[in-house]
Amino acid sequence: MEWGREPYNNFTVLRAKFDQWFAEKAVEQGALLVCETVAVECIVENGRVVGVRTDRPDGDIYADVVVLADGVNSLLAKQLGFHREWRPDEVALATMEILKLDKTVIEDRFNLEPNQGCTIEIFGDATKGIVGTGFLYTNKDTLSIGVGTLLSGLIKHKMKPYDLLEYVKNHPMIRPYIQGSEPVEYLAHLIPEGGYHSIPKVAGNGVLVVGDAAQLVNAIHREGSNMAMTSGRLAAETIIMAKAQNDFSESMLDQYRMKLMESFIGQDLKKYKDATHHFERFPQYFEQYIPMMNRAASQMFTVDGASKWEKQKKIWRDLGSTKQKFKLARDMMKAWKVMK
Amino acid sequence: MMKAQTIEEKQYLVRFNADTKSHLHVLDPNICLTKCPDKICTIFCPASVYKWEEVRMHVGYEGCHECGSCRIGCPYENIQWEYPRGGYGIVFRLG
Ligand SMILES: Cc1cc2nc3c(=O)[nH]c(=O)nc-3n(C[C@H](O)[C@H](O)[C@H](O)COP(=O)(O)OP(=O)(O)OC[C@H]3O[C@@H](n4cnc5c(N)ncnc54)[C@H](O)[C@@H]3O)c2cc1C
Ligand code: SF4
Ligand code: SF4
Repeated sequence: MEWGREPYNNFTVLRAKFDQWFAEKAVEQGALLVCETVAVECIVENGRVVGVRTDRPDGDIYADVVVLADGVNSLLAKQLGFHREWRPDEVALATMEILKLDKTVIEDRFNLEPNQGCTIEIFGDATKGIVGTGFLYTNKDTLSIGVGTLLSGLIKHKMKPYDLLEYVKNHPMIRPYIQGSEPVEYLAHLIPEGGYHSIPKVAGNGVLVVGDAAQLVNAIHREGSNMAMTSGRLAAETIIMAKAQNDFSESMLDQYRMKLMESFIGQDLKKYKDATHHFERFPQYFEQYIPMMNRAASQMFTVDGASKWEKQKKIWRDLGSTKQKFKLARDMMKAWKVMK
Repeated sequence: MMKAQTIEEKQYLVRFNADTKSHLHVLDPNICLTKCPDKICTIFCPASVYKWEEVRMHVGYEGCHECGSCRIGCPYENIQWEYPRGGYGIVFRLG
């Protein structure tokens, strides 16, 4: 309940609105906002980034430092050779829908006070054995529902992402929450989930990389916006320092990378550095163990006259032969190691 | 019954300001024809932009969400991918 008071723990936002509001904050501080313009490449002179070339006529813009905040695809950082093309197991493809639902219905259904919100994380059957998760967030008079899986998983299982979204929406655990709502927008986006090992070069001569472009997402806790904003702040602090010394070289700007790694961003990404790849490499977790845990829990909680001892024995038997049990125990230890 | 079940219905909810020329190009349709039995981009593209028409790929770029999946997911790097020109492409109304 302390999350319902200031400083609030989390907000759900609709990006179209939030981004405008957030950009306005920068403008208030004196930034010049240029919309509807694509940065086509960095202008590099003598091994140093000195600006960006845009697709506007006479659209070259020069700067002491260019901050690349161009999101997951980050074609600009790729052009600079900071990262190669991402592999399909370094990105998750998320599809989502915004569902219109009456404010009072949302508050009743999710047990909320006015202006309170609720997030539900969906884990397990939602992704049909592919590494990924689903989510259901409340907004004021809409819900956001989505599901994301590694692109490599969709390719391997030959699954259409919107079919998976429909599957989640119609899942008996989810359907009651969204009953009576009306889809008003459909969206698809990649999430960088390569984690620690995929963080590219983030500082060069006259250039820094922040946010999704630097793969700064904690997929396990679904944190990305906070990391994007914090990395942006760390970049700004570094540039202020660089400006004071009039030195925009890589060795100076590399302070940013150090700050990043010392912050919760670097620490958290390090903590989970092997998690996604572990679950991707060993499909038994999502394909077998999660359904197995669900079955076991369901058996334990079924009131059918059998004693809990009998139930436990049956669950134990269902785990398979001694050899299979050893494998399971070993896999659980490994899972603990990548998550701890 | 929930509405927007098919991808066509979902896409109908999205606003696009389509440019007159495509920002997506399949470089060599022959690779699709001979090397890519699943035509995998027609499966994982969240907007069903790619449609295989016997010997060639139809690219409905107007409905592209600019997610980047096809550029990363095509096993033969056979898709040339750019952002649409400034002011064109998908328009986010809410999310
Ligand atoms: C479905 C989904 C759910 C999520 N849920 C959460 C959540 O619950 N909590 C959380 O913390 N995070 C969440 N995230 C992650 C979060 O959205 C991202 O981590 C965050 O938005 C990253 O911010 P960014 O500014 O780095 O990149 P983006 O928000 O992607 O912004 C990059 C911008 O740059 C623009 N751009 C790219 N290239 C160019 C160019 N060449 N020229 C001009 N403009 C360009 C893009 O159009 C885009 O507007 C979620 C992501 C998705 C997809
Ligand atoms: S995934 Fe690539 S090679 Fe396969 S059909 Fe699509 S464009 Fe062609
Ligand atoms: S960028 Fe995304 S939506 Fe657009 S064609 Fe490629 S996969 Fe489809």
